Amino acid sequence: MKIPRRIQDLVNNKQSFIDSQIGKLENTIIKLQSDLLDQIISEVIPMLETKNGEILDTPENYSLLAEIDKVYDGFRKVIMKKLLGEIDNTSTKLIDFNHDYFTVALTGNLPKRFEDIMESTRNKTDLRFGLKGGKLVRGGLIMDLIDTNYLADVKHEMSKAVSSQINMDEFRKLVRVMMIGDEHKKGLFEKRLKWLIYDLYQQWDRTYNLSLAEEFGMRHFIYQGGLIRDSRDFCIAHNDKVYTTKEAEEWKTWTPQKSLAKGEFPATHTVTDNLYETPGYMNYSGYDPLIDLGGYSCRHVAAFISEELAKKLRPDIDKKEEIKEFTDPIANHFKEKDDAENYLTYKKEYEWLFDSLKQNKDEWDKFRENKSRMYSGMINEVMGKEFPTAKTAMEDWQSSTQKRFPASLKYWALKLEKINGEIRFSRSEWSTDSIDGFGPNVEAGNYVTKEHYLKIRAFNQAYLDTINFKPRFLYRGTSGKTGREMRVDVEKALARGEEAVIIKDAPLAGYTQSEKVANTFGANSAGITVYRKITKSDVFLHKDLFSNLTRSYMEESEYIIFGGDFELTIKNHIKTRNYNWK
Amino acid sequence: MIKNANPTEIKRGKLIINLDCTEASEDWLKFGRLTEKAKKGDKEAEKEAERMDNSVLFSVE
Repeated sequence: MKIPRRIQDLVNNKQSFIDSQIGKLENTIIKLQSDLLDQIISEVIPMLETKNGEILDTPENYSLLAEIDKVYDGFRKVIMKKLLGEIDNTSTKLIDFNHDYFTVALTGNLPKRFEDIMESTRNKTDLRFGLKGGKLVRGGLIMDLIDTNYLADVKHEMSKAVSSQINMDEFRKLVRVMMIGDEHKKGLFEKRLKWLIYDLYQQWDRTYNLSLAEEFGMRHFIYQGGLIRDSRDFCIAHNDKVYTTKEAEEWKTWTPQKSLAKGEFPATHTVTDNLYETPGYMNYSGYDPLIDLGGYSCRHVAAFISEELAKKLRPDIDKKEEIKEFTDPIANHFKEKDDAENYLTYKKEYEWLFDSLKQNKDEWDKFRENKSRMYSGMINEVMGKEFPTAKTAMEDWQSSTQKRFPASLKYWALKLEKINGEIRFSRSEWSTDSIDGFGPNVEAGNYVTKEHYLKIRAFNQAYLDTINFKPRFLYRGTSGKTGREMRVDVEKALARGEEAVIIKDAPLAGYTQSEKVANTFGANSAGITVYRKITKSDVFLHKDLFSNLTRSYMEESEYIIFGGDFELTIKNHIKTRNYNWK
Repeated sequence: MIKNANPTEIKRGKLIINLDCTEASEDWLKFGRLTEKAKKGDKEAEKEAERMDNSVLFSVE
């Protein structure tokens, strides 16, 4: 995506300024902690009574602990004056940068009250951080940080030094390391005021920037700031891309898998975070997507731009939002509007087909019991004609879900629909080379085609609507060595008092309507049986259509449903031979 | 990078069950059919079921 040079320069210049101010603030704080140390070393420590170089355990020495509080009280004014001066200068300059930025970003369409908005927004932002009229507000965010007496640890060490009568030189060294740090650890203020040093300016600017965008009615932005060697997965996925503020709201639950599914990572990038978890750097209470972006110490910026420019840079930007407007919940399950529309078109045709078949009640009822030769033949013929590659996939499914055609159904499920998860491969069917070539091969139409995927999906949903499908439990067993291992760990989790587990399954997985079948191949064979309540939107292929197609293992009543990652309570959902809640 | 799937793992203190960690667990109905046959003395089925149970699935990152 080619970001306009002028916008890029303005954002980069502002960021360079913020970085240089962070450096200055860090130096000021290092200087302050060093000055405070000097004061303690020159004013308090010499007052300690010693004998032969050792601190004495005397009441006078204990009473000196209060002197440390006095030193800090006096020093607090120095801190405030120094920091306030720097913060005020920086925010004033940031206003100039934002003034220039929004003048360009609004492409000349400046509102009449532009200057007033700039000023009133500054006041609002200042207040949020505890600043008002160039002063710190008592009880405000910054004042609270400075007000905290950080010398409690020093006091504690001094009390210990007196009671254990340690050597005076040793104590000086100890206080020095606590206050200003050494090559292994940072000093007292550097550690405690980390947020102030590294995040204050960035967050002040983002808050100001966001408030201005809201005032100007701007809802599109570029996630900008560039990449460095150790950039986070979240920043790598979003860098230099255009988003809406509504899309950003979803970042609260971002996982790398979501960006993988959207193709947001560069092809050469290897994800280092857990694919299915929101990384710790942005998974904290109070995380605000447009203020915190990639989390603690993130250096990216939401550079707001006009709607016109956003559409130019990302033509599909509003189409993505329109997809949420479909009344059919299954259509909303698709990531792309075009796919949802094609699905709906196909579904209408199939609804008509099933409605006509339903007219002959006797034959329809026989079909539902797998006994209508006539309907079975007709439906099979329609499937073969309408989506032959998907039909092949279903025929292969029962012999091995690892074959190319079933695997390509999983590929499309993950690519086209809003599900998480990943495809796992067996070594008996796949090599790394064949996996590399698999995606391009599927896209080229060599296995199940995208059109046939959408058609079988529509065919199934039309059938579910016709039979008025209701939510129900379906079951899945796991036995053998694998199932035994799962059972042991589930029982251990129960013993630890855990109530829920995370289930990870293939994007499409086989389940049965027969609890008996699942228990025979699961809990009753020393493994586990999973009970899952499913709704219409979870069903990829209903058992009636599946068994009609394959005419094999009909007693297994197999459904194909969407898998992925989800949480289940152990009670009511997982059964083992030793744990049966019923 | 190739990542083998484990039957279970623990993340942030929570048990994760990977239902598609081996061919036997992903294709559990087929595996179940084979073990039923194996119980009745079908040696081929026993061999195939054992292979599936030992066939760890992997993903490519």
